Amino acid sequence: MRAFLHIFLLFLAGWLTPATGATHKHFQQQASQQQLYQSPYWHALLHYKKSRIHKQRVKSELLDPEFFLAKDGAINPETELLATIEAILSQPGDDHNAHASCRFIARTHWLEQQLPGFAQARPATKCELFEQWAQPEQLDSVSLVFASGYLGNPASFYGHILLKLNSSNPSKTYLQHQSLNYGAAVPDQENPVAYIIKGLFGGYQSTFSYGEFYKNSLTYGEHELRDLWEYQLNLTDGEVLQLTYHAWELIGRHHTYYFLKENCAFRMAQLLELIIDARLKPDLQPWAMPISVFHALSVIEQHGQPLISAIKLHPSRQHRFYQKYQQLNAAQKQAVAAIIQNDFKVHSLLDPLPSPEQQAQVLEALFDYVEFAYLGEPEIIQQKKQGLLQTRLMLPVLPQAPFPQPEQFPHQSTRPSMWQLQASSKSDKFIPSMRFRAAYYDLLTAQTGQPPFSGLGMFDVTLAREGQRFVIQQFELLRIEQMNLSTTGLPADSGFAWKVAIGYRPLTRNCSDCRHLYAEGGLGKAIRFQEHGIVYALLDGRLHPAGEQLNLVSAVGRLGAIIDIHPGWRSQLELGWNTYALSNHQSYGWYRWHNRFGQSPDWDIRLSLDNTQNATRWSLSYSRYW
Amino acid sequence: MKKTFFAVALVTAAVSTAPTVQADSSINPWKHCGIGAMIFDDNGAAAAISNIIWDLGTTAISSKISSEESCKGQRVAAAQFLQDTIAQVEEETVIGDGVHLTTVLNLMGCEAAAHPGLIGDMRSNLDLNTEAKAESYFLQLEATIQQNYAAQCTII
Repeated sequence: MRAFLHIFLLFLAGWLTPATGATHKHFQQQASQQQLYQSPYWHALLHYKKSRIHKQRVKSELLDPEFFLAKDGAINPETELLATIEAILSQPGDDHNAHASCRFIARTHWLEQQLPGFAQARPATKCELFEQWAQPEQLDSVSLVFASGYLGNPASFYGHILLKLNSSNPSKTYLQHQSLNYGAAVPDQENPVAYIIKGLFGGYQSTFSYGEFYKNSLTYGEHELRDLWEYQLNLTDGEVLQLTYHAWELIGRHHTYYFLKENCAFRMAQLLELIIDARLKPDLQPWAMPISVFHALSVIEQHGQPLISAIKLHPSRQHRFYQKYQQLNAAQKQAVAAIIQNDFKVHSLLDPLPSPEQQAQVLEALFDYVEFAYLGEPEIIQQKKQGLLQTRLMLPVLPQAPFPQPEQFPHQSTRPSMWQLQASSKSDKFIPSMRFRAAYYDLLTAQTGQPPFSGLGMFDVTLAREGQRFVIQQFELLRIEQMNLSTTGLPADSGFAWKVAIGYRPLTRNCSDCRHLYAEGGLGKAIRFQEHGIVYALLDGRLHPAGEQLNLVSAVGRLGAIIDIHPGWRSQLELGWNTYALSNHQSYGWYRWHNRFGQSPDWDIRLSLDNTQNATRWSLSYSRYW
Repeated sequence: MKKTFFAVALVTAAVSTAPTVQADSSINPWKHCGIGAMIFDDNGAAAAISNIIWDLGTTAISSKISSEESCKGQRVAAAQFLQDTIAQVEEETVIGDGVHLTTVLNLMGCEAAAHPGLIGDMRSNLDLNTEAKAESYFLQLEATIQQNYAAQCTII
């Protein structure tokens, strides 16, 4: 009874007067009794990670001493909790923004929910900086944004993730919404080898930064020509706030960056897991992929509703150009080509077009063309656009058609990691094999949100049965194939098809004991035919160890076609000629016909025929993706 | 700890748009607030960031020239937006429509009903030949607003 009276008086003190030492001791005691320091939510807020050796020990993944209020807060959830309670209950100075309740809003909010009377006991603070940043009264929803893959930077091959805080203020466009980004801090002019090694092994620190969404739109959509896919999440107002509170706590804080796992996908998933009762990031798997987060979100229900409430595409400058160009009629397309040929001097080249609408459409497509064709050369862009802008300014303002929203979205693509079981017949023998690919897609994969007819494979290993044992038939550390297709046939809208690969495999098709390490590069040209197909020719050069019959270099000429016969059936036919210059090994020709059936994100079936030096091999495989 | 926090706080304040701050129309954001000069606060991090937008101070204060408050408002945010996106805004002004154009008019506090008229006036006087495009656009926009739309645009 006496204890109850004591607590009641402390509560009363908390209600009526600013917090005292006795008050914080009371709440610390209460928190200890409830063992709040063991709460998974507290551990998530502090980013504690269990030690692999001592399961009872934890250490925060955050590197900034400023993130912790207790001296040993980075490794001690209990002292950090007690210090947080004391700091929140302490009297604020002149600048409330520096007070713990403004710096650690998520912790404060959570403690208010866990400890009865805590909200009333703590001194009132006005967190102006947070309010200016988040404008919480206008917060409407949260979106996760997928930036499609970018082959210009190895760290961006697999796409990127951003968080966007959507405002309900009708006087703001989406470009003014706040967004959160996460990435590694890499010094200028970093050596590419150092970049890869440090990226893989934790040589960089990474941080959360923020900015209005237009900056992301500029960087990704205008400068890197990447589509931004905005997935709006179906969250309650409370969940939106909860997420925003913790996002605020993380701005400017540092983690160790690991390119493969503790990357943007991992950290954004970790942030979302605060409010979503599902696993979004991998646990044991040693890599994390941005697209996997979207695959996971697409099947989650929150409060009985699908978690994804809407998907919107913010097309890149290149994508907008293609869309506008495809809408033009034949005469307009001729005008576009003529103006490009005339170095963007319009003169009378628009005269054959009958209406200002048609003339305006040509000029507007050319704006996009110039920006895309002379990317990274602002002075040239300005010079080429000048006449186009002046001509368009003389035409009237005309209604603009909205960009058509797509029917296929990135999360509907095939998932990035693969297990495959294969049965092959070769010389009347049945050969079972297993294949594992960590990431991501190949020329046959059904995918949206990546360059069309391209391949990006990493850590791709095939084990085949030879006699009584399984051996590594082939291993590819990396393979990139980019067909660089032209959609319009205009001068800047084309490039060379290219390929690079590094791995270990038989260097001729019919041998089983001639596996070598190799590095391969190819260059050629691919063109579209009809709407759903391409034909290509590439010359590959291959570097490998010299042997009895092999020299250091060999070459492969390839001619091929890929066609989507149906959305669920893609077929590739390829003919090739291998030559082994300056060696005794005979040159030989080969052909292959590979097919993918199915368009599910989770599986497909592949049927292949390979013929080399009159030996034919059939293969049937079932692939499972996750 | 406190020092670092205040550094972050200052930067945050600089980047945020604060509706309560009064516009000081005598301030030229390019000349007095460091816009275009890319004055960055030193937060101790490397200058170049991979795959990241490091938004720490494109509207940072050049305190020797101007007071901090006068460089914090929505007007300066509009100037910064123009500096970053002038290629898009100019293009959309010529076309007469677009989200960047709408954004800059929003940042100038202009109500939606005034946008078509303002866009029409901007098109009539748009100078496409100037070197300092963003600054020139901003000054023309301010002059147009002051002349014809002062009642419909709150930050003038």
